[in-house]
Amino acid sequence: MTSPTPDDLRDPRLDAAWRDFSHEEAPAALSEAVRAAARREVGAGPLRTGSATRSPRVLDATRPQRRWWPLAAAATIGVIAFGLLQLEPAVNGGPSVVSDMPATPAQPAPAAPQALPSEPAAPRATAPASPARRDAVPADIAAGATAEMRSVEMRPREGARLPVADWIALIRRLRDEGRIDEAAKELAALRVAYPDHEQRLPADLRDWRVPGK
Amino acid sequence: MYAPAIAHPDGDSRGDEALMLAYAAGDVAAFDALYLRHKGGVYRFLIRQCGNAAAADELFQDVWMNVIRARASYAATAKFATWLYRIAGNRLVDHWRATGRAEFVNTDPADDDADPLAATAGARSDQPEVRTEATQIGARLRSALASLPSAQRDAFLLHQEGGLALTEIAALTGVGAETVKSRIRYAQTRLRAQLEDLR
Repeated sequence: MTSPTPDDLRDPRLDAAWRDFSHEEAPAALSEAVRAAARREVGAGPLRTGSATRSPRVLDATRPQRRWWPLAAAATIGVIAFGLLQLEPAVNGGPSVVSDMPATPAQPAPAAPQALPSEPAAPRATAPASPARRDAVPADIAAGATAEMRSVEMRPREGARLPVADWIALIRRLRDEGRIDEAAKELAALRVAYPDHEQRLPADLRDWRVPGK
Repeated sequence: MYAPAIAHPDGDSRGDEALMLAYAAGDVAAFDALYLRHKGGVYRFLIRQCGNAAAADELFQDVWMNVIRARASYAATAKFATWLYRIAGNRLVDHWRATGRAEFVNTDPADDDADPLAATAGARSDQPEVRTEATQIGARLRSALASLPSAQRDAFLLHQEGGLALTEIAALTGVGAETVKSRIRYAQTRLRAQLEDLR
């Protein structure tokens, strides 16, 4: 440092010559090492641009004592999420079943099927209608869906076999709606699917013949 | 005792002592400002004293590491620069003891009474290599500085490179201010003599 001092010992010519002669500086690497040591000693992190002008609030928020806060927040969120997942099945009333089969509505018991014997334990080609599925689609029906929509929903896929009671209800509905060909087709399919159809069919369908045939 | 707040090249208007206390409290930026102010002077003081860049590098780092370590015990009872150059002087003493050279502060009053011009002329005439470098001002000043009695050299360098006032050098070297002034004048006379034939 060659700043003037308040005395009368300055010689301008000597000062100028001295400044030309003596202008060495510490190597940059050495300076960096010293400054890094200074930062280390006070526990500061790596030098960042503008660190000298950071506000006290920022300095306070980033001090080492608060570095565990994000971890604690993440752990709390995780515990809450786990708890909610544990509660979810109880809230929904049980696991739901996903199927591409149309749901069959809970049928109002027609008069005839009450006399039918119980369902055979034959293997089904379609997925069984779970209570959840039964609740899903018939809700639309109960809400006043059209008869056409209802019949489409109830119609089994080709080659599939419905429970006898459902199938009988479908045939009756088709017949009553005047869709005679469809009703006859479903009746024929039922007869194929259930060899003991003579015992299962109510009298009005057992003896029903398609008009004109 | 302390200099009033002035504009410094580092942009910090605080005095050296305030910066050192701020650093002791954890303000790294204060150390950077302090370092920027004094690194050049300290480095040149050391390299002029030991004449060896490698040794000066090592001493320089030691000095600043001592400053860093001593921050907690620093008390602004003296000017920071005085404290800093005391550390540098003590480190030089250690270095010279290790290398078998003279001590930092020569308290022999005979040095102050010596004829600086005669001593310089004798030294130059005895050193042919110095004469061959005489065309360069830097070389002349360097050799003249090396030929100074250590007390004069110390006083001159503390004044020239450290920017210390007479009273501060007096406090640092343990002699009166007038003695310091005399030493500096002798040193200046010798150095100026190297420039006479270049006018």
